Amino acid sequence: MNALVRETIDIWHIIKGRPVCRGEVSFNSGNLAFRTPKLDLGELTWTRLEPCPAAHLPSSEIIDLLAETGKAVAANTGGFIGEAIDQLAATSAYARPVLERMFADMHPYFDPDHLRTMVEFELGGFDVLDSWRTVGRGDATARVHAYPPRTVHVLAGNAPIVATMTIARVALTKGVGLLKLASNDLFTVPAVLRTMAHIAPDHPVVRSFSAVYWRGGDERVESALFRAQFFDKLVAWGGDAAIRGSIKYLTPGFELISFDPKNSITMIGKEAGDSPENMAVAAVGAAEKITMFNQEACASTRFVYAEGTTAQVDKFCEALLPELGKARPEIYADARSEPVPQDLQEEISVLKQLAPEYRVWGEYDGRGMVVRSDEPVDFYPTNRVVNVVRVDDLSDALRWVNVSTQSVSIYPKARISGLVDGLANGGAQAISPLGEPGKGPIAGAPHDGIYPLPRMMRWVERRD
Amino acid sequence: MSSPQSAQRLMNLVDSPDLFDLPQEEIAPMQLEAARDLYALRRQKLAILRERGDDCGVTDIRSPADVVPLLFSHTTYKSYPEAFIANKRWALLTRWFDTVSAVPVEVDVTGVETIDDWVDRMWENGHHLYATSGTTGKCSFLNNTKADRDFVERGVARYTFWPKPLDPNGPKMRYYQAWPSNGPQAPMHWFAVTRKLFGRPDASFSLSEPIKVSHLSRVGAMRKAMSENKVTSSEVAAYEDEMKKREARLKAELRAMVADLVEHRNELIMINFWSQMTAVLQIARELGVKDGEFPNLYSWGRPRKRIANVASLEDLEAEANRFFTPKQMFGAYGMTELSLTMPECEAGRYHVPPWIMVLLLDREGNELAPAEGISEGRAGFMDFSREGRWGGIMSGDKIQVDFSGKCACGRRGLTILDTVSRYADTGSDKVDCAGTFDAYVRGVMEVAQ
Repeated sequence: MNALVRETIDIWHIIKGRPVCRGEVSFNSGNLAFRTPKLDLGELTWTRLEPCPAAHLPSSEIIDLLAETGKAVAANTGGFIGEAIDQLAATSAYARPVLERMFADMHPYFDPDHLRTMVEFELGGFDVLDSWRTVGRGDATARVHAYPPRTVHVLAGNAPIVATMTIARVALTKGVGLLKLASNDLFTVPAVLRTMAHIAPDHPVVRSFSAVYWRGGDERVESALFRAQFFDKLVAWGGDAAIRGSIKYLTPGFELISFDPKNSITMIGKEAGDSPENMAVAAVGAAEKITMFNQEACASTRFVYAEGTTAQVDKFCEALLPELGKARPEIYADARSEPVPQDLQEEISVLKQLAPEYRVWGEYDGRGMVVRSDEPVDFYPTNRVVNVVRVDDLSDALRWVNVSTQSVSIYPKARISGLVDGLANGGAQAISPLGEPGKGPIAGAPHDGIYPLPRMMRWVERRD
Repeated sequence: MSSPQSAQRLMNLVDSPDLFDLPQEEIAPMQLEAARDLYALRRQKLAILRERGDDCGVTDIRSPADVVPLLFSHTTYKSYPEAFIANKRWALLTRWFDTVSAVPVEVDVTGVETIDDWVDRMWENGHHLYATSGTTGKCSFLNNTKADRDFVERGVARYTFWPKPLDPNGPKMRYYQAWPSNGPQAPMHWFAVTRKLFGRPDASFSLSEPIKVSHLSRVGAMRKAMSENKVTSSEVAAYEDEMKKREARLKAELRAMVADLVEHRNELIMINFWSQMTAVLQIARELGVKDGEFPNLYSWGRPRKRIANVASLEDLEAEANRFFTPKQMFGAYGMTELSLTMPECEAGRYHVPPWIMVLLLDREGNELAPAEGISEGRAGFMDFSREGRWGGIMSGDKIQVDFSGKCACGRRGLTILDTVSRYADTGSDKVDCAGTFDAYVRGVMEVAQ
């Protein structure tokens, strides 16, 4: 990441499928300076007096378009994706090889089989999406249709995949989507939508998208747009401030779908100490969970609960440290992060003085640090810092699992069954074994504890 | 472990008739010498300072730039794990406090039950710690020795209501403050000394409820307990009830205080109301008082930064001034991390006392900002008067400093312009899917202290 990008970048907006680039309004966010076209708020909503542009398209045609888009993204058709990677390489938390990998891995999210399976699992089939499904029994029946919704999305910018998933979902609903770009990724969404517009100019699905930036929390913009008159649902991707800022606009008829701000943990059973092989599997597996997405994502582990005596857990910490400094492009991990920020350094520096209750391995250089303690630390570990919390039994860690806990990775696999209920009761959402390679997107799996497609749809019934 | 001679020399300037009119070219070399001596001394005790210095390759201070990487942020002083308090691990908390103190903290904590007991125990043993809580509700603890307190009292006696300082031997005033009479915070100490020096013992009013650390930490403790699933809904309700009752008690006391003020409005009066100014004005108006009915009133100036629930400090100040028409206002810029305040001159600028070195930093706080003309940046300070802790501090304040060495009021020295704001108010709006449990706690976080 280039922390001192001073050159002003002009950002593309998409207005109902039409790409616009005019550097009319200047913004600063953190170290980034950029310009966008001036917003015409009237252009950003779709009148309810007309159906959504893609409302009457068969799903198969939408899936075909998404599949073609996926191929075009992978092939950098039109050069838009290449441009986005260049810009992200200069401004994001990721180095170029990882970014290239992220874009190369996008197409499975647009894969026709993946999309079809998603609709099958989440909506129970295409009948309800393309026509009317009969529900009820005997004489008491009605017909139900998943009506295209009008959605506004406040996107997160810490992983380009957010863009891909959002575009695929909005397209599948046949509704319209206004996508608010995050200042930490102003490039991916416009690049994918420009690619789509390039291969299918003026396609109804293309016209169903707008993507623009405004400063998060800008009341003039948000108060005008976030209304039931224009949109049915607000889809917010994490961001404590973003979600708190959005909540005040909710009214009956304008609903929040929240992919809440989350953090993730790893649990290491005492079995890790049974053999050097086990220790290696546990250490490598934990390092993968910690460093995935350079520890920028909600699914990245920040706390590891390790079972055993202090001496046993310290051995694990020693094995873990060197693994944190390795590049793993397949899970979007560079070899190092930005150096540990000053405030975290201050906290860790003090904990170093509190041995033996606390012990610290590693340097502040972004290649990884391990802080071992008996209780989770108060700070939020970032930049490849991980807090290994020693517990006598993995079940002791359940009291620190709460509604902000997203993914839990467990070693060894055999311990999952004994923990799954406790984890789910506490609030955790996804439980998986450590050390198994990712298989790409899993169609039919929930996202942050919900099924987004049925939540996004407007369910209309008729009895004629 | 007292202070070096070079630091003492700067502190002794508190008695100089030219206290806020000293040429920068004389002060700067004295400050550099004091920084070097103090660093050499404090390094011996403070391992965290030594580690920081060694990491940055600064083992000796040769220029102001060398001080920059040695500045602590407020984080250092609240870097103890909150679990120490929740789990009553007082010995460990004491060991932590020792690591951030410039004097050895060796205190027997036998019998300590609550965080308030622990604070009392520290005070009884000569560690007059200050506690402050930010938005997260976690308290920071800053150590002060008896000598640190004594120096503060010297300063308050010397320049309260500068540029026309009040005479401690002059007539005493009726004194009103919308704060408790005492508490383990720097401003509470300044106010207490002011009251003692200038207030009438028979007519000094404060709020009765003392500021307890347990109260300041309550928000943090509540959040932590919630994240560990240890709080029932009836406990949440009880907590919210208690907060409301406390607010009602405070309002009632304030009403009584303002009623007394109104009754005696023609007498010689000092007020310190800023934390509750909106309520004070409302109560006084309800009692039938009009603008300009206070002929002999001295007022503390408004805080330089945000007050909860006040949209515009400038508007509130203008309204308060119309109402109270103070004979004199004491404007000052300061922070709990610093010994004393920087008072405001006739030209509306803050004059920096010689025992505080200004380190104007770039936005990120990594290096010095250009030191010429009027320059803007993050405020860093090195306070040479602190014995209980390292005096180097990096703040979140955005300030403008006039390096020309000459103020519009005619006095010499560095001045800070009246444009102080917070960097946190103007940050990045990036959005991540990652976040903490804090986002899931409604209400508790916003409860006023």
